[in-house]
Amino acid sequence: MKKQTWKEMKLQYPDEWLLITDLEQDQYGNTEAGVVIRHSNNEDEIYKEPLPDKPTAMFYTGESTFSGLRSHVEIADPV
Amino acid sequence: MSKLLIPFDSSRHHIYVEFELLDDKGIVRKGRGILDTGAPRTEFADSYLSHLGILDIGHNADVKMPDGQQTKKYHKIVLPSVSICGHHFKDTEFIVSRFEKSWGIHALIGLDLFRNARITIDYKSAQIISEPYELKNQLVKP
Repeated sequence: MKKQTWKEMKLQYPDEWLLITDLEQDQYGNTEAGVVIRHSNNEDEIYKEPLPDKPTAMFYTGESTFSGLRSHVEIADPV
Repeated sequence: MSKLLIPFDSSRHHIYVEFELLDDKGIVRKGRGILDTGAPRTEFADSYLSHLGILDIGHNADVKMPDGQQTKKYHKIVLPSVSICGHHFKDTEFIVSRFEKSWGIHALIGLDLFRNARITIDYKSAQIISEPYELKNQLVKP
């Protein structure tokens, strides 16, 4: 498997979850490149096998559907 | 810590921020969240923490979203090590939430970050500017 830049990953795996190893980051700590070892449009598929015992990144290449609708109620009695 | 400039993609609908935390074996796992200035505290997706071996969802597997919402806060967890935008949170409590799957993120980065530093979101230059409060105080001392 070859190392790819984040831009290349987005083009090759649109709207997919990626598990990336051999991470390279820019001076700001953002992931710039790595090796995609798993990919799927279902996040759970990525975790079917144990994660490798080395640093990984898990990113979605698509756009989030987050619309800001969320509860801000504090948890009074945490589990 | 000195001033940090963290670039983001201003062409996207949200401001995506990378974070890293340690899993149950102490291995670095990087994920991505959305900077949410309306969230009082940072929330992590329960499924993500569970997959990393940090959280046992157990009897909370049937937690449901309230009608009309895309998330449900239901737990708190102390994480040993989390880094966001150059800020390190050690043994810090975070909220655990069930996220809508289609969000495609692992966290909503909330105001905890802003309590740690002076944060400026500069859309024109597509940068998050993070300045420690201590540095600011040192600069104004005579």
